[in-house]
Amino acid sequence: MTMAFKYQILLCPRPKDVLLITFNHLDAIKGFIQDSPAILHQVEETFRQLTEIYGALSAGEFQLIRQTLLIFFQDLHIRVSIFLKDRVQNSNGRFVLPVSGPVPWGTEVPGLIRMFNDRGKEVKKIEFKHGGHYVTAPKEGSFELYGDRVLKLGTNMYSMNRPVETHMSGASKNLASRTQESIAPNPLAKEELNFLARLMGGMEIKKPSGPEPGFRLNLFTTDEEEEHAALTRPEELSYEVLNIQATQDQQRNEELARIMGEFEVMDQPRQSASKGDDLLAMMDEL
Amino acid sequence: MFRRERSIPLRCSAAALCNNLSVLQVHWCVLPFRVLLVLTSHRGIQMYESDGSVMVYWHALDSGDVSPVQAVFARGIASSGHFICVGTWSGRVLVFDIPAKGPNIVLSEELAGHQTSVTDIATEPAQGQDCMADMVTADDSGLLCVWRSGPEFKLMTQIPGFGVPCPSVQLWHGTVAAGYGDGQVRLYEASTGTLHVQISAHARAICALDLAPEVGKLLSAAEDTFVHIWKLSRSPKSGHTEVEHCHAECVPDTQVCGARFCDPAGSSFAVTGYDLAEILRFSSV
Repeated sequence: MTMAFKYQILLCPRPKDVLLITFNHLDAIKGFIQDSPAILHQVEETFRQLTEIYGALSAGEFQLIRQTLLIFFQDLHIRVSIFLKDRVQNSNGRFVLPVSGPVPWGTEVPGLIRMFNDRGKEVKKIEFKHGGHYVTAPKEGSFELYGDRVLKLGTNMYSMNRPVETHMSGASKNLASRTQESIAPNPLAKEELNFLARLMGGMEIKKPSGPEPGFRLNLFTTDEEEEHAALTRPEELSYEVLNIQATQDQQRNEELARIMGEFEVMDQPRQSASKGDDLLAMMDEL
Repeated sequence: MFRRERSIPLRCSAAALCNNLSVLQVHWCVLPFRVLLVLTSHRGIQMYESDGSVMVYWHALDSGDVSPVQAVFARGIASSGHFICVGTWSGRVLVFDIPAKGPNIVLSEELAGHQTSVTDIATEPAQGQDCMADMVTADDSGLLCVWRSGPEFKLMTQIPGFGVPCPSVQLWHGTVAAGYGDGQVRLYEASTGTLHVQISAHARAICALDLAPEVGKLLSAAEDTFVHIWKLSRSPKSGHTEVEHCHAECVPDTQVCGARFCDPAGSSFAVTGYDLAEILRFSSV
């Protein structure tokens, strides 16, 4: 996690964008707990407090904050598998600093020298080769409670579609990079547990306001390939849909509920002060 | 035009300072009879003999009744005659009177001109009667103050900022060169504050400007990994200041945090950056 934090601070376009990255983090948290109004209210309150304290800081103060944070993370070069895979980190652990793309909001694309006379009138304009391939920034990120942050730093790095590698390609023969510590928990784990709970009949299926959760079977390497295959399917092959009834079976629910009931603990666990007491109590019961 | 020379490795990481002083800036101050090494930090100002052997003077910053969330520090160092000027977080510029030898250094004046933290100070030897201004100070709002040194320093001109910090400033033959947090380099007439040249030089905040005074070359380095070298001149017919781009050097994947010419003719320069354990050197071919 420290390397992800370092990456976000380092690649921050403007010092003030440190706050925008924090807002991206809060937006992601809001996405997790959107069905729980009490926690959502707390997150929004955090938002308001952050805006109150940091919203009025000057660019110079933000730069001092950023520099202090960077000094804290100096000389840390831990390689992270998702960063190596996305080529945002080199194999020596240093982050890639691109010299192309949009300039920060408020910065002009480098390459112009303008000369003025004593009355402030522009008298000469020259272009020079600055070495990068920059373009103007499209728009400024929003600092409001809800808004388009524009900045991608601080958003979920795992939400991008990436092909699942089923075999080792020539470039990544190095086994060490495969066993590198991953920085984020598996997002499917929560879904698996939820699905199990629904099968057991113990959890209500809440209609989510966001995209459909749960599993979707994909027989292809990426979603794009699946869509492409669907488009190129010949007309003559008809649909054959199989219905697998895994939930909503009243009789099975009752059966499962009875089995689950048998697992319940009948006695209250005894409160004891020490391990020795526990052992004695157990022996007394024999 | 420039080729890479052998780098100077740094013995240990810059982060591993033994007393955790969090040094912000270091500068060798060349005075008429001695050279002092000056360090500014979050605690105060330290002055050493030029070889770093003996600490000659320590000035603790007065935080007074400042709120605990306010960062207190000194930043911006320059020498002018027998004075050493150091900027502070409040905008005050401290002027120290330095004797020819010994530790009897006295705080002689506190200059008021800035409302936000000072970022950098630049001086040049007085050019005679034509150029009265010989010191310029810059701050976090981009404001530049032009001063005339003396037993009492006098504020000559103020050049307003535009909401962007000015981390680095230089002074050459009455021309102020300022590098800003939005990657711009601007040249002003020191005595009047008139803008002469505006360069969209970098895509990120500029961290350093340096001058090669013998040839009028300006070096700019920024967090966008680039170092640019410019040639300053005065047009013979119009008398206007002109700028020409000489060279661009990219230090791949390195956020440059310092760059300097190694000689007054600008034939070589040194660069270092964040997370870099060496000083890179380039010299012209």
